[in-house]
Amino acid sequence: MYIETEELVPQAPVRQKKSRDRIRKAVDHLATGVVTTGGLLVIASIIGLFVLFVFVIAPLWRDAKVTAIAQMPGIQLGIAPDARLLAIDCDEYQQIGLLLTTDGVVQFYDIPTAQPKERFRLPLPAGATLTNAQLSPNGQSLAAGMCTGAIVFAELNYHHTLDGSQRAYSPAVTMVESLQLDSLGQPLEHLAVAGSPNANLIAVAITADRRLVLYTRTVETSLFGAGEALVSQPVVAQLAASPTALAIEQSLGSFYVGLENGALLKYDLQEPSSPRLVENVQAANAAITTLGFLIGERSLVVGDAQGGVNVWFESFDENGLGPRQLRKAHTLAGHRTAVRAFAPSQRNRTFLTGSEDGEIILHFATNQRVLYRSKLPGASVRFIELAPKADGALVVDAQQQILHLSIDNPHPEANWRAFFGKIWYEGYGKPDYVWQSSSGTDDFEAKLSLIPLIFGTLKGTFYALLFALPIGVLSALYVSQFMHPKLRGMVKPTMEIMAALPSVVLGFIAGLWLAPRVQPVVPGILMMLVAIPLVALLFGWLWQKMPKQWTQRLTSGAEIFLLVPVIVLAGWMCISASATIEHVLFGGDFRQWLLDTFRLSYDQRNAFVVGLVMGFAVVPIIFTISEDALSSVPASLTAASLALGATRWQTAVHVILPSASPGIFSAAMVGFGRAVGETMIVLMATGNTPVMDWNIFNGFRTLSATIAVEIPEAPVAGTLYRTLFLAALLLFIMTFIVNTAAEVIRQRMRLKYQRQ
Amino acid sequence: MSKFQKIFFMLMFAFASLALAQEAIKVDPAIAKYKKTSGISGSVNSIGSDTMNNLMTLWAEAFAKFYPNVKVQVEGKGSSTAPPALIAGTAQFGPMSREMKQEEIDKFEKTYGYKPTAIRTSIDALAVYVNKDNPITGLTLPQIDAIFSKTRRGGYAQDLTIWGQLDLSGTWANKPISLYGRNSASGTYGYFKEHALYKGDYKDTVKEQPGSASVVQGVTEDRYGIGYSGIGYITSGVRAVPLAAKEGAQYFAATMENVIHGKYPLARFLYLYINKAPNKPLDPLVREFCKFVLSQEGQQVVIKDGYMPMPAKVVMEELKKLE
Repeated sequence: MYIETEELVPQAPVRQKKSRDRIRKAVDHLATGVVTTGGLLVIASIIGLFVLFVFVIAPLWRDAKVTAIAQMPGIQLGIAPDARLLAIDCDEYQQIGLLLTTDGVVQFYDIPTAQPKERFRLPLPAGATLTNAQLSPNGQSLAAGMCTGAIVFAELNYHHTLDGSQRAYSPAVTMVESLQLDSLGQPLEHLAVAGSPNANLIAVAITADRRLVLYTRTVETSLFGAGEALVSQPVVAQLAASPTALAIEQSLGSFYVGLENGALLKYDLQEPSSPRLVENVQAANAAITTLGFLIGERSLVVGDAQGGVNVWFESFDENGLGPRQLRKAHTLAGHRTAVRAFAPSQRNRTFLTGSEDGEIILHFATNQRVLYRSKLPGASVRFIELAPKADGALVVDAQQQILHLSIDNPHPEANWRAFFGKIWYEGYGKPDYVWQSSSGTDDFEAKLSLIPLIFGTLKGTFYALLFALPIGVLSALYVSQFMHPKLRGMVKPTMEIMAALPSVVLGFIAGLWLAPRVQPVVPGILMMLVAIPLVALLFGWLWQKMPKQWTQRLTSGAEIFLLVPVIVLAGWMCISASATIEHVLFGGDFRQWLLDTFRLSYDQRNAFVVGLVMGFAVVPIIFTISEDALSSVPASLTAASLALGATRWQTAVHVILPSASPGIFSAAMVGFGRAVGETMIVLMATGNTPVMDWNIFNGFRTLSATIAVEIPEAPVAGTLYRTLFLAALLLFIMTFIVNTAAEVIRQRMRLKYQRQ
Repeated sequence: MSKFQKIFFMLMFAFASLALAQEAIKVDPAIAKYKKTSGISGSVNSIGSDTMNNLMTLWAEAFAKFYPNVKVQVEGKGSSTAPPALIAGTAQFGPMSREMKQEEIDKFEKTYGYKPTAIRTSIDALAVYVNKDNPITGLTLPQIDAIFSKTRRGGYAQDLTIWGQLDLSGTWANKPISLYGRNSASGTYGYFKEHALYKGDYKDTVKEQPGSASVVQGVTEDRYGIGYSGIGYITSGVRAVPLAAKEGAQYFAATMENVIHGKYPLARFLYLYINKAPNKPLDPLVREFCKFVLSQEGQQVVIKDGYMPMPAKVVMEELKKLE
């Protein structure tokens, strides 16, 4: 503007001109400064974004932080010098600890000050001592085996009250009942109990002389309130080797026995009075030393005398068929010596194992991650208890030393394997890529594979470009080369308005309106793909045959408007003939034909519909950039070509198109970038099914839609939250690589073609 | 009988049956009416369950009739959004269609030092919907598990993928079953997974819908579709299938009577979570809103939205939690 005014006043005085020069220079400097700053800010913000992503994602790979808080001998906490520790526990705030010893004493102690507190004595028969104990997973009851072959039950309560910010405790133990388990009166060495005192109950024990004894009680509640208890002591058939470890499902479904020869037996308890041996697998090469369930009671962790730690669960076979069988799903990092202790978390699939040589390992079962591994200062580990919130642990060693550990383990679910590898999830027939990130229960196993999401993103983009690329580029070629400039001036802005349509509107239309309407007329639409180009060609041929005085009346390029009704008519005819086509070609049912012929299913929300609608969103971008590229080919080239006798078509295809190819290529890449990042259309129209096949007639789930759907539910700084940031980083990297590659290729193509 | 009389009788009959239908569900008369108190004003936010979205809005409207100066903002994207909002303090109410997970309670406790308070507000029968044209008479839970889940923990022998496997004949016999469900933020998703899928995993082909209404919409538009949502979202385009807990057991429809007597296998409470410090009085506005929800009027609203009111005994227990 400024320059123009200057030119309009040719007789300007010299002084004024000089000052104008100065102003012009200043403005020039200012503009350069603004542009440079702007550019630098863009680069800085992209780098900032990248740093933010990395900052949020990095903690996923951090190991668990385990620190020793205190170590003290049991005697200091009030246990008798000649007694041995049998069980240890603490409340959920790790304020009050519980110690159970062989003399039947339950000693509570204050954890922060390491001072003994309340003391209770279980009423044992004279001379009897305890030999073994088991705490229930909820920490509300304990069962202990005696040297007389009997067991006692007691209920525990920490009686916690909150007064302001001060916690007060008045812990108590109440003896509930005792039962004679072994009729031969042998000491009970291992014990597994499920159920509740005075109700349905199953107790299994291994005696000192290596027998397996069983006690079951079913209470049948009658119409008149009080139930009648059916007690039985089934005899388990002779075992091949001595039993060494036990585990029982709290749901009373079954129990497991580990043998000295490494065999693992499963007994079904559907009929509690007659347990049935249903499985017998070789789980280890040496004696099984520990057995226990992870949260949810589906995965069984087997520790053996050679230090091996394996996870077993039941599932169908690889094809999802056949009977459920025990399968070894995970082989975890092992110890160098025999596994002696096992403790599961009540929050997720983390668990702690301890060994004969005093080593502890914190594992995560699903992704086989070792979160922490250390040799403890003390002697051989005897037993371990994880705090109820899994943020601490109590370890007891062979010298009755008690070690209190604090555990900070925020992201055990994450590692490379979890995000990009095949993982064998609980109950699955084989390792697989699965995305199912959260649910409403604590025992849910999070499945965080990003592979289905990356696949879905590429699938959606592929089908959108399959539709948008030919239409966008060919229409750009037509508009730029064959259409009258006046018409072009109208058509181009109209196409650009298309780009302004909000994608949420397109998604809404695609999901709720288009998808149900496409479903019955798929054969007709497939027919359209063939029929419309044919009709267009036929029309072109007929147009040429028309008398010249008719055709020349129209401005060049306006014949397209005559083509529109013809195409609409052809489209309409295809749709109305859909049922007939379906009948003739597809045996009357397209979906069925698809299923029978190609084993492909047809889903109402599918990639075909999304491809159409997302293509609609991408077409204007590809069109505009391609059209610009084609129009900016120097007129001298066109003129030269035409002068040499080439037709307009030959000129367009052999001269213009190659010269403009760098621009068309970048149009395609920008279109790709738009389709990769597109969120609302795929979110509303695909059904977000994380399936992994290229079938155009079913859905997919993209990275962007997953981020949009799941970020509101993800607790800030939790594993899912950080994983979604990882998904965002992947998306960022994908578009970054594509755009950079596009730019590099475009530059090279420009050098190559524009020289010609 | 003249034509006019005929129409008159038909209308009468229609009104009578309508009245009967309304009579079927009634609020327990032992539940007290709401008593208005003075000095209640301000605004509160509710963030959480989509199943309870309409319910919260209706409660808020009815509550505003007592206190015109009170504003209640309701946002419902899924039960999983309630705990973060309660922890951050952006919401005073967290409606949830499932119980809070231990992990969520831990996070709340880390911030406030005490656990959140759950108030049971109403009863929902989680319904399994099919298209209105679908002739199926009933489904058992193991069958539902085999339809929706890839792990089949319910023990059904084979995977169910076509309607013919459920003894539908004619044009239905070879049609694939098209699955609709909720996103994982939903409490309904979690509840259905826990109780209908026996804690197994959904198939990858379950189409994830952002809200209960869109599940129903999807099944309405898809003749061979099946989906699940709260009973409050039923429309004329879908049918709630009667369910049986086990193979060979009797089917029960999602009615008030079947839910109260524990015969319908997928009945659940709908919760309202609040942040209440122990031994400290609750914020008056929050307290009055909860009292209103647990009053005769509040429970009437529950019926109006298509859910089921609670027995007086449960209401009493919940009122005690507010003190």
